[in-house]
Amino acid sequence: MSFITPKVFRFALLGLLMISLHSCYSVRFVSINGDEQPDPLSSRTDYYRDMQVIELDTVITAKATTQDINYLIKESSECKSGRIHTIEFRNTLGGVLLSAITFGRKRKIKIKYVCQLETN
Amino acid sequence: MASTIAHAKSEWDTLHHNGPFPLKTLYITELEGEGNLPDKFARYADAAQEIQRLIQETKNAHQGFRAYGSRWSMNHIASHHDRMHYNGFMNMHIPTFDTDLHANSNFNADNIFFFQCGNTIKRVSEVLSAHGKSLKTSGASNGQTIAGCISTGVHGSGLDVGSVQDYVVGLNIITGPDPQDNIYLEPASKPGLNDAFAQKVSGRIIRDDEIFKAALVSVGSFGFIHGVVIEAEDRFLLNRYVQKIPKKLALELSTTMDFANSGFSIPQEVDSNGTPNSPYHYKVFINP
Repeated sequence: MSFITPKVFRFALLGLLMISLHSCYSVRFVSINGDEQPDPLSSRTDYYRDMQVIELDTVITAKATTQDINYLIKESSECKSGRIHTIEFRNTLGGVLLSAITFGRKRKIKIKYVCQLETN
Repeated sequence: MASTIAHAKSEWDTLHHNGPFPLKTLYITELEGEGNLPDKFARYADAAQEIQRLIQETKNAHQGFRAYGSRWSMNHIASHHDRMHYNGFMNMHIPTFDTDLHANSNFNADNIFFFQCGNTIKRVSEVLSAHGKSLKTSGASNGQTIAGCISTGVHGSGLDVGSVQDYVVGLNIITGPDPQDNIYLEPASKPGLNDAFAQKVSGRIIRDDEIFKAALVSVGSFGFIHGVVIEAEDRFLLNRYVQKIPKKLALELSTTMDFANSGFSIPQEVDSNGTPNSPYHYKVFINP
């Protein structure tokens, strides 16, 4: 008799879906002051409509003792002021699993940010 | 100097997707860096020169030109099928002082502010708030540019305040490529800034009530509004009262707005004689 019956399979699938849903979330910090740097050429229709968004989607390698990692926001054409207006961190099941499997050595970084429009 | 990138486009749309409308070229102008040109008047004049260059370029191509800000207006007139210019990066604030007021001005110098066209209502409010001041009114949100609000007649819901264009003191409008096409425009009956200041931001001064009124809500047709002078007021806080009142009285007040002679009053909002004050804003909710 097989242990994985269709019922068990469905429950396992549902469980995986639940874990996936709970692991997959975004946290967004938005400054109440200043304007977002606009992007008049943008065709986005999501939250970032008309904004100049910088997306960072990478995996970093860290030592087991690494507590924090600095990522410098520098002035560029996409971030003229060098100052943050909005930042969104996204956590995914893949990121959690990657960190778990590699004992924290590989960390998935998925970030979107928008800089403040320079004031004049 | 201020720089512009011309992008070849086939269409343009408002934020609320009232279009798309046809378009050939989208101009995006950015100011010269503050570090390279620290003097505000010089930077402002430099931007004006760039706009005039674009107007000349457009004229040479026998095409039309219209400026836009945050593209919140749902008006299809606020677009042009040839060339459009995005103003959002043109967001200077030039401080004004007592010495900048016109000799016949009745304005309080502390309430007068000069902004470049692309400043958003949010940014304008931040600057004003830092001076203890506030806009007299604005729309329900704050992402519109100040020039866009004026040009499209954005209004709030204050009963005796009027719309955004009603607190404009003067306009700096660029109507063409020549020096005399860079105009500082004020009503003759209510001058705000003196010639010395106006000459720093324009090449020609016009004080005329009719032209000023015509230029205010012009949906970008009267020229390129490069800068605006507005009158602010002291920062204020509104008290909110929600009360259940008879429908007949509520609707009667909606029609007459005569709170002083109505049978309705809020105890905290009466004058020394017990006469009801007129509210800043009045709204009726009906639960069917």
